[in-house]
Amino acid sequence: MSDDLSLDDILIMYVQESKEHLENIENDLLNLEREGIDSDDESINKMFRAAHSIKGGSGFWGLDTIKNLSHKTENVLDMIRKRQMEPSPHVVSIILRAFDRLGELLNDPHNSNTMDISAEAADLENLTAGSLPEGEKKSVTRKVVLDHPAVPVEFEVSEFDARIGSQDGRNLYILEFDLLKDVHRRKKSPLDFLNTLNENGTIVDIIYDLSVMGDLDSDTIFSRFPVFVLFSTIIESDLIGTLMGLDPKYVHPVSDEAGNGETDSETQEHASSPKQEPGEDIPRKKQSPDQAPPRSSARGLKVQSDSLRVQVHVLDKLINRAGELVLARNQLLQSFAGGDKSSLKAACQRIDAITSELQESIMLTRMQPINNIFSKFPRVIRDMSQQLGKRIELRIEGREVEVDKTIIEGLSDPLTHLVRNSVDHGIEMPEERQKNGKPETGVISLKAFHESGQIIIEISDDGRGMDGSHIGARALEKGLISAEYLQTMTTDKEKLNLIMLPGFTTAESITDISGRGVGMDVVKTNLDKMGGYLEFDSQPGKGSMVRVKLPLTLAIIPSLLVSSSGERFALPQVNVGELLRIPAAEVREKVKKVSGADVLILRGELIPLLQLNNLLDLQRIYFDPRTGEFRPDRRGKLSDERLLQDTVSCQADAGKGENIPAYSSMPQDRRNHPRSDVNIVVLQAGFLRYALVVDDVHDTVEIVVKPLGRHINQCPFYAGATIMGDGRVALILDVPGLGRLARLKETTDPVRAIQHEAEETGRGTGGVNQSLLIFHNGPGEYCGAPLHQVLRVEQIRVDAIEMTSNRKVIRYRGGVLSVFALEEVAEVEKIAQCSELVVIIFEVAGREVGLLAVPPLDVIEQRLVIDEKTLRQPGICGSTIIGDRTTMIVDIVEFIRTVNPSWFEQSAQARVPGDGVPGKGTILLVEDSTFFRTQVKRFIEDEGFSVREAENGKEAWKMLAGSPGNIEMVITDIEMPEMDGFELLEQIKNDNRFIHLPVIVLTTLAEEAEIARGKNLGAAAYLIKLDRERLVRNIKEIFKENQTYRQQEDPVAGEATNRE
Amino acid sequence: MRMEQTNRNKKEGAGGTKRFATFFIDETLLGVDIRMVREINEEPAVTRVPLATKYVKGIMNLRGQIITIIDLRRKMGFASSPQTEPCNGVVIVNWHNEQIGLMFDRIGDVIESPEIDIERPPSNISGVNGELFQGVLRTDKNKIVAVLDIDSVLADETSS
Repeated sequence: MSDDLSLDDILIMYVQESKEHLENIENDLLNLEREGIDSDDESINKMFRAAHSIKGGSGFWGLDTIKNLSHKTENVLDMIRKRQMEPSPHVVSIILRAFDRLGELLNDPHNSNTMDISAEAADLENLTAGSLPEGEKKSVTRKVVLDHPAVPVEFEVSEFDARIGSQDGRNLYILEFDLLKDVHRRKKSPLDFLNTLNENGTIVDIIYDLSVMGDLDSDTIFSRFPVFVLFSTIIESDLIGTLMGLDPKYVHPVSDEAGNGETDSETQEHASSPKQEPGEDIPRKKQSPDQAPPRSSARGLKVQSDSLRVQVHVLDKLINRAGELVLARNQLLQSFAGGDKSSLKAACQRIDAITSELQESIMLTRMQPINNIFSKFPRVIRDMSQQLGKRIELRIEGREVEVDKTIIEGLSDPLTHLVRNSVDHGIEMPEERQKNGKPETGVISLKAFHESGQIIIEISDDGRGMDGSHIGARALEKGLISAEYLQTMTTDKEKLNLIMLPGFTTAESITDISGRGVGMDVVKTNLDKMGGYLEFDSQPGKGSMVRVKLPLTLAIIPSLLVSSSGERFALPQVNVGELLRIPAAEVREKVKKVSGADVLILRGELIPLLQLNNLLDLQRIYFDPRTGEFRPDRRGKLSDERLLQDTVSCQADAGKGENIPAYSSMPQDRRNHPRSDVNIVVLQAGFLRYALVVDDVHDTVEIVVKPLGRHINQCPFYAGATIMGDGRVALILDVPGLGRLARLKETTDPVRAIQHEAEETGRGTGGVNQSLLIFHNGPGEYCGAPLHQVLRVEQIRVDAIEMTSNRKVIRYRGGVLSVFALEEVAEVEKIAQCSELVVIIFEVAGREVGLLAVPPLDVIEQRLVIDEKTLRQPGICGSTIIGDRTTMIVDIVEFIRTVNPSWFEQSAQARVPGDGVPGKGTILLVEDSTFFRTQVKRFIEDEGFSVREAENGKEAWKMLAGSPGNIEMVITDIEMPEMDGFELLEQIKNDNRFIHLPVIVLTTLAEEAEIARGKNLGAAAYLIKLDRERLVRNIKEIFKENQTYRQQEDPVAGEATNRE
Repeated sequence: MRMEQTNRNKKEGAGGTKRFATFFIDETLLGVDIRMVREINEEPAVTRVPLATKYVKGIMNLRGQIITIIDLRRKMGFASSPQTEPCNGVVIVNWHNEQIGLMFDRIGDVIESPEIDIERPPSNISGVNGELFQGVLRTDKNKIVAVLDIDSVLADETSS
C-alpha cells in the first residue's frame, strides 16, 4: 500500500483522519459539559482517543506544535476520564479552544510549527496543574530526561508524563522501529503502524533520528530509517516484540532511576487522593468574558469540501450504470454499422434512459446531510449565550435531510448569521424573559425538511419578535423606502421583509455578535445566488421565524433558453416571472419611453424594459419577410418613433444606401409581420424586476452549470456557461448582474418616479381591465380564465398523462399533479386529438391542479361585459365577447368543487377551528356589475357569511345608515355610478358610527396610486376581483382582528388608528 | 561512467533540445513549448462572449469543459480583425490548471531546437509587444519562429 503512496499522500491521509476525529468533538464536549461528571465513559474515551491519535501522527511527521498541543489536551482529557477533574464550563471552554486551534494547525500542517499556541498550551497546563496536589504542580512543567544506553537519542518529557506512563502497572519502553524494514517492506503505511501501537498502549513521544542515516552525498546506501517511540504499556517487554513484529533487541525498557523513582510514593498518594476541584484560575474566567476570543464563534464554520463521503450502495449503483452505458454504446455502434434503423432507435432510447439514471445517481453522491452545518450550531449558541449572559436551548430537527454539497457550502454563512441574529436580537435576557412571564431559558429551533421539491429550513425563536410597523418606520427613517411605498404595504409580513433592504438594522447598537453593518441583505444576496429565498414571520413578544427555501441542487438548474442576434442564452427559471409576446401592432401601446428609458406597461404596472442585444452590444437583427433574411436593425429603442411612423424614416434608410424599396408601397409593413412581434421575458431577482426583450424564446431545459475561465471573470452578468444538445456552448445570464449592467436600482422607486406619466397613459388606453387567459378545448370553442388565478402554464405530450385510480395525473416537478378536462363537468367540446397539450395550473383549496387545454393560448386584456345567464353551467360562470368570438369564462373553484368535493371538505375542516366566524358577520357588498356581484357574493356565502348587496355607493350608504350595527364589513368596488368606492369609503370613515367598520376595496386593476389612495382613506385591504382565496383569507383575518379588538374593549382608541 | 551519464542527463534537463508546436497568424509563425500543449482543434464551434475583454474570442466546448479562446491577433496588437471572423483552429494549452485555447489561422509543423539556439527577440518585431515572447529561433528551412511566453500572453490584464 505504501508503495503507491508518496509521503505527501500519507500526510494528507493523516490530516483527513485527524479532521474526522475533530468533526464531532464539539458536540461531545458540549454533552460533557451538560452532563458533567456523570457523562458516559465512551464519549470521554472517544475524545481522548481523538487527541491521542492526533498526537501520535504528529510526532511521526515532526509536527511538533500539533504534538505539543494535542498532548496537553490529552492530559486534561485523561484526568477527566479518571474523574480527577470536573468538566466545568471553564474546563470545557479551554478544551474547545484547544481543539479549535488543533483544527487550524491541521489545516496548514506545513506551517504549523511556526504558529503560536502558547495561550492554549498555558491554559491547558494550568488546568492540569490546578487539579494536582500542591507538591506535584511543578511536575507538569518540570522536565525529565529518559534515555537508554543502547539508544542514540534522549527523550525529554515532563515529569508528569513520565509518571503517568509508568504508573498503574504500566511500564515505559523505548522502541526502536525501522521505517524501511518494519514498516515499508511489510507493506504497511505509517498510519497502520501508529494504529497498532495505539491499540496496545500509549505513545508518549516519537523521535526520529536522521543522523543515523548518514549524509545523502556519501556513497553508502543507508539501510535504516530508525524511529524511536517512547511507549507506555502494561504489556511485558518480551511480548511487545511479538505483537509489533519487532526484534526484542530493539525493545528497551526505561529504568526507574531516570527521574521516575523518587516520585513513586507521591504517585500512590495522588492516586488515592480525593478528586481535586479545578485550580485557582477558574473564577477568573467569569469576570472577563472578553478574554474568550470572539473569533471562536466565527471560526471553524467553513465546511471543508476537499473530500466527500459517499455511501457504498450509491457507488455500486453508479458502477452498474456505467457498465450498462458501455453495453448500450456497443449496441449503438453495432446498429450504426449495420444501418438498422429500428435497433438504432432502441439503442438511443436505452442510452437516454441510462443517462438519466446515471445523472440521478451521480447527483446522489453530492447529497450531504444538512447536519454538516447544523452540528456547528450548538457550539455557536453556547459561546454566544455565555458571552451575552443569555440562557438558550437549541432544538434541532431534520438533521438527516440531504442537500447538495454546493448548497451546504453556501448555506453555512447565511444560516450562521440568522442563528446569531436570533441569539442576539431575538432571545431576551433571562430577567427580561421572567418579567414577561416566559421561561428563563429561551428556545431556538432549527428545522429542515423537504417540501414540493425544495428544501425548507426554519429558524425560529421564542424571543421578543419583530414588530412590522416598527420595521416600517425604521426603514422610512433611514430613507430606504418612500412613505407612499410604505403605505401600500398591507400586512406586517410585507413590512418584515424590509429588513432585507441593504443598510437596514434594527438593533439599537450594533454588537459584535450580529456583525457590524452586515445584515440581512447579505444573507439575502447569498441565498439569491443559490436560487433560494427568505420569508419572515413574527409576532411581537412571542418570537419570530425565518424560513429559508432552497432548491435541491445547484449543479443542474431548469432554465429558459432565449436567443438574441443569433446567440443563445440561458436564463435560470427561478428568475423568470412570465413570458410576453407583444404583437408588432401593439408595441406602441405597451411600451413607453419615460425620461429616456423604455418602460413596459404590464397590467398597470411599469417595468423597466431592457433589450438584451443592446445591453450586450450585440448587433440587432430583424427578419425581413420579403427576402427571408436577417438584416441588421438600427433602431435604438423599441419606443423610438421610427417604429411607429414608417414611410419617412424608411425612405431615409433607403437613402443611406440600403437597397430596399420604399415601404410605403408595401402592402404589409414588415414591422407588422408576426416575425416582428416583440418577445419579452419578465425577470425577477430579489427586489429587482425588469423585462428583457429577446429575439426568440425557445424551450425550457435542464442545464448543467459550468464555470467560465478566468479571462471572463470580469463579466458579472454571466453566471457560467452550459453545453447544449448540439455540443455548442451557451452562456447563462445572471439576472441581478444584468440588471446592474443596465444600472437598474434594486428598489421600485425609479418606477414610482415616473408613475405619474404612467397613470395618465394607463387611464387613457384602457381604464379598468381584466386579463384573461384564452384557451380552447376543441377548435370551435373559446374559454377564458382570469389570468391572476393561473400559476403557470406547461406544455406536455398526451402520452405523459397517466390514469391512476381513475384520475388523470401527470408527473410534474418531482411530484404528481392532478389534471382535469373541462368536459368532465361542463358541456363543452371534448379535448381535440393532438399530440401536444397544455396544462394550465391553478391553485385551488391549497393544492395545485391542472386544466387540460389545446394550444395555442393567448392572453387578452380588456374591459369585460359578462353575460352570466346564457351559457351558465357548472364550472362556467358566464360568457363574454372577445374579438368576435363568444368566450366562456371558467370558474375554476366551482369546477374543482364539482369534480372533487372532498378537497373542500378537508380544507374547510382544516380552516374552521381557530379562525371560524362563519354565520356571524353580515357583509355589505357594493358592486355595480351583476356578474362580479353574484360571483363575489357566492365566494363569501360559501364561507358562511351572510351578504347584503348594493349596486352603488349611494345605495350602500343608505343601507348602512339605515341599520348601523347590523353590518360588520363592507366590500366595495371602486368604479360605480352615482357614488364611487372612494367616496363611499370617505363617507364611512368620516362618520363616527362607522369609524371602526372595516372596508375592503375590490378592483380589477391594482394600480399603486389607487391602492395608496384607498389606504389613505382607511381601507382595510385592497384586493383584486375574483381572487377568491385571497379575498376569503382577508375577510377572515379582518374579522378575527376585530373580534380580539372588541374583546379588549374600546378605551384604547389609539390602537385602532395605529392599525393602518 | 555513471558520473558522465548523470551529467548528460543534467544537461538535457536544463538546456537540451526543446520541441515547439508552431502555427501561423497571418504570415507570422509562432511557437509554443510542446509540453504545455494539450491538443490542437480545428474549426471549433465558438460561442461569442459579448462584452468580454476584446482579446477573448469566445468559448468552446472541449469534451464537457468550457474553454476560453484567446484571439492572439488582438492580444498582440496585430491589425485587428472583425469579431465575427471565423475561427480556423485553436491550440489548447494548459495554464495554471486551466485549459485555454489560442486561436490560429493555420497550423505549422512541430519543430525541434536546442534550447541555446533561442535568441532574444529583436526589439523591432513590427507592431508586436516584445514582452510576450521568450525569444525567436530559426528552423532548418530558415524560417523564424517567435516563441510565445505563455505566462505573459495569458496574464490577466484586468487584475493588474
